[in-house]
Order: sequence, then C-alpha cells, then structure tokens
Amino acid sequence: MTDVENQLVTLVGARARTEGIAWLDAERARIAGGDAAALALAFPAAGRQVGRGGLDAPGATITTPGGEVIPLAAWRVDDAARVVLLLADARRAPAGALARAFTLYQQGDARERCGVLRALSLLPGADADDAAIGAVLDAMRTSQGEVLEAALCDNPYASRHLPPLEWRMAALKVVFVGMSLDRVARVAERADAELAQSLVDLANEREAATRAVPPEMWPVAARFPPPGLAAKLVGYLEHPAVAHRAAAATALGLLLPSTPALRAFLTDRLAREPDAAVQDALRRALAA
Amino acid sequence: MRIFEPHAHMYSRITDDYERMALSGVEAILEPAFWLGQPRTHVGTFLDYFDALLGWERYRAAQHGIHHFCAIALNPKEANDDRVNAGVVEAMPRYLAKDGVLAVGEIGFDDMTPREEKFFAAQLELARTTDLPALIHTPHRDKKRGVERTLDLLRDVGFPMERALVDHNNEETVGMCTDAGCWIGFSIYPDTKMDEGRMVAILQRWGTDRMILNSACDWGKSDPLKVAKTADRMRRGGYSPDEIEKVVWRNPIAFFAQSGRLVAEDLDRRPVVDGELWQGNSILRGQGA
Repeated sequence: MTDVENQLVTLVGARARTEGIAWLDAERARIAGGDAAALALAFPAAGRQVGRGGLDAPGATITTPGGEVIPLAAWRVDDAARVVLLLADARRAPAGALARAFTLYQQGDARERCGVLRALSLLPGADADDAAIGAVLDAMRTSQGEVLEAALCDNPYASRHLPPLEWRMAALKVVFVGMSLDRVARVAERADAELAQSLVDLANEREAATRAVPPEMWPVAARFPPPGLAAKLVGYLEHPAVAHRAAAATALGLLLPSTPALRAFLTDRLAREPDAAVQDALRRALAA
Repeated sequence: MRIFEPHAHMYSRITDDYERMALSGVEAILEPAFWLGQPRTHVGTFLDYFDALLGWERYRAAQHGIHHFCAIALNPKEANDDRVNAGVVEAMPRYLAKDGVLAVGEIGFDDMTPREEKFFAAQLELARTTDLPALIHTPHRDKKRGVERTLDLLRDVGFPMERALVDHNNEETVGMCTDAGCWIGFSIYPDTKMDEGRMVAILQRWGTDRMILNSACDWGKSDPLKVAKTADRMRRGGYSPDEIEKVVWRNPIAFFAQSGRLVAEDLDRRPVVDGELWQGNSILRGQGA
C-alpha cells in the first residue's frame, strides 16, 4: 500500500461514517486482491458510502511519485475514496492502470469523472504514459466547472501531457471561468509568448467591458511581455485592490532586468504602499 | 410548500423551466428515461441520453437549487425496436449502479405487444437484482386493460407491489391500483390524461395514501408547474398544508427512498454547484478582484 493511499484513507476516515470506512477498506482489499470486476461496481457507489461533502483538510497536500505536490483543498470525500480505489487497482496491476482509469472516466458521471481526473498523476507511469489524456481533453469541453477544475487545477498530469496548443487553451480557460491560474501545475515552466499575448488580450477585453481582470495572470504574462505590458502594470501598481498591486509588483520584478527604468515606479509605490503583502512583493521585485 | 416532482422529462425543457419550477416550490426532480419524440436507431444514442440524465440535467437543476435524480430504462415504445432493445437492456446494469439512479423506469406497456411484455419482465428482474423500485408507464390507449395487464404481470413475476409505482392513472384505473397495493401515479396535463380538478376529486374519493402527482412535462403540450397548480387546487378544496405536503413531497420520497439511495435529510441542503466553498476552502479564486 502506498503512502498516498494511506494518507487518503486517513482523511476519508476523518469524515466518513463507520460503515463507509469499513466499505472502503473492504473494497480496496477486494480490488487489490485481484477481483478485476470490483472496481467498476465500487466506483459509482463511493459517494453513497463515504459521503460527498468537502474533505475539509485545509493545507493538506499529497505528493505524486514524480515529486509534485497536490493541494487537497478542493477535494471532496468521495474524490479521495475514488482515488484510493484506483490506487488499489493499480497495486493489483500497475500496467494499464491509466487506460483503465480512462475507461472509468468515459463511463462515469460528473463525480466519478472528478475522481478519475484527480487520480491521474498518482497512477503508475503517470509521468510517461499519456493513455488518459483523453479524459483531460474531454473535460476541457465540458461546461461543468467542477469537472473542468478537477482536470486542470492542481493536476500535474494535465500539464505534463497536454500538447502546447491544448495546454495554452487550458490555461486560458482556467482564467476565463474565474479559477486561479496559480493552480495550473508548472504554469511558469510551460507559459510561452502565445499564452502571454492571449492573457493580455483577455485583460484588454475585460477592461474594455469594465469587467474584472484576474490579477494572477500578470506574472505569467510578464515572462513573455507583449508590447505595452510594462506601462499597463505600472498603472495596476495604483489599483485599489491589494491582489492587483501585489501581482503587478511581482510581474514588474520580472521585467526589471530588461527595463531598469521601472525601478523608479516600484520605489515610489513602496514609499506609499500601506499593505504589508504588497510591500513584500515590491521589495522582492526590487531585489531581483 | 415543498414539491418533489417525481416524473419530469427535463431533457425536453428549457432552462427557464427549472427556474419557474424552483419558484413554484420544486426542490427535487426525478427524471425517468423515456422516448425522445422520435425513434432512436442506435444503442449509443440511448447511452448518451442516459449520460445526459446523470450529468448535464443534474448540473442544470443544481444551478436552480433543485436536486435531480433519474430512473433508467428501455421505454415500452422502443422495446418494440429490435435495433436497440436488447442492446439497451444489456447496458443498463452499469447505469443502475450510478449515484442518483433511484428506480428502473419508465418500463411497462404501450401497445401491449409480446416484445413489450418480454422487456417489461426482463427489466422488473433487473429492478429486483439491483434492489431498485420500478416506475411503470401505462398505455394511453386501452388504458384500463393496460393497467390490468400491468398488475397481472407484477403478480405473475412476484414483483413486490409496494416497490411499484404505476403511473398515468385515471378515474377508471385508480381502484385497481389501490386494491393491488402499488403506488398510484397521476400525470397532470393541460388537456389530456388528468387535470387539477379531476385529480382533487379522485383524492377526495380515494384518499391520499400512496398517491403521487407529476407533471410529466415532456415533448408534448405539457406544463412543468402542474404539481404546484394541483396543490393549489387541493388547498382551495380544503386540504390542509400537511395533507398537501404528504401528496407532493412525502409520498414520492417514501416511494423512491426504497432504493436505499435517497436520504430525506439530504434534501434539506441545497445541491452543491461547482464554484462554491468547501468548509471555507476556496475552490475558485475567492476574491472579488
């Protein structure tokens, strides 16, 4: 039994009824013990058995075999139970675990699909095997936010295996529907000039419509700055919302080495900035 | 007034209907699988439909604070179609295992053909093996004989009457069903089948035990507010709020709770729509930037 499986069983145990905990123990023993048909029957029943509420483990994380850290803040109890069932199935037969998970995704309802998507980066061969990327691509077409979130947020598998075009569209969609870009795995590593341009275009469209702009896009866009970005960010240094000032400061720090003139704006703002978090961001930017 | 709408084909309705139903007091809907207005020619189109009942309709309903459940079946009309009948029934067990599937249905007779009888019986057996109750359609033509044959088949295969909801009843069939001991469904329609005034007269004659009202709200001329309108007619007819709630809320819950998958207290909480907070853990950004 893997550490992650144990960790998740403990978290389910803190939230589920006694009968649900016993059910999960029995099912994963049956599945890992070689009953190939057990997984398909247990998978849809998980919500009825362990509950469907939030896992309620703020700050808890698990670590993939590849060393990537996954926060569990958005997980529900049945998500964790379904991941446990998939890990038990992978112990039974590591080869093909991702392909079997993909089949469960195709046959699953929204809750089951979330469970599959959250398990992908934890299954054997996840770093090399893209057999289940079809599940992520399918989820990108849904309008069910919960499924989209499970596919793209806190999910290293998506960022490992999505091709460049699809990965950029995934990152853009996360921002577009109001989820945080910070939750897309390896975003700094995979961002490119096209994504940066798309993000700034989205910001312009929102500003033209006097709609809110997601601030965490700025540090990502600043890695490949389109023309005019520095000036726009200097403006956001004066934004009334803390999140915008902090994100603009961080992004300007990335631009500072190539545009030393920005230092004056950062220094000026630091002298007047009342918020401690923004002050920190400004100091880090100036130290860059 | 809380309403559990126990038979609504929401697949055929626009999103505004969910809003109107929510405003009329509907807090839960059960959507049985049925015909789509024209025949399907592939098993796969049934499976996509079942997936929609389990997925998209549940999501649409949740956005209006409505719990959405469903029943899965090969309907009686298409039981006659050899392109799809056996393949659909073969695929059903995996769907009957799903969360939110509270019954096998709609099954039953339409033209009362041998094929309909064969797949009706086969699906009653599926209901028995999966421990689910059965929601049973009755023919609109030759209604009385259709209900007789339905009750006969239930007796012949030994299906427990208390786990059967025999639907689309009228003045001529209600007595047979009360005698048999099954649950008795009524589809309240604008013009046909049953209307509010006749329904209240039936309740006054036969009482409210095991009586279940629905709007069916399907592809034809129908009205998703018919349960609320009938409840209003009951109120004007002198029924107490408690008696009305028994018919439009507690009765359907009692029937479908026999699935073991419907916990009445769960209905006291709004269904979760994505983007909400889990115990203070922000799923979305959580700031009003």
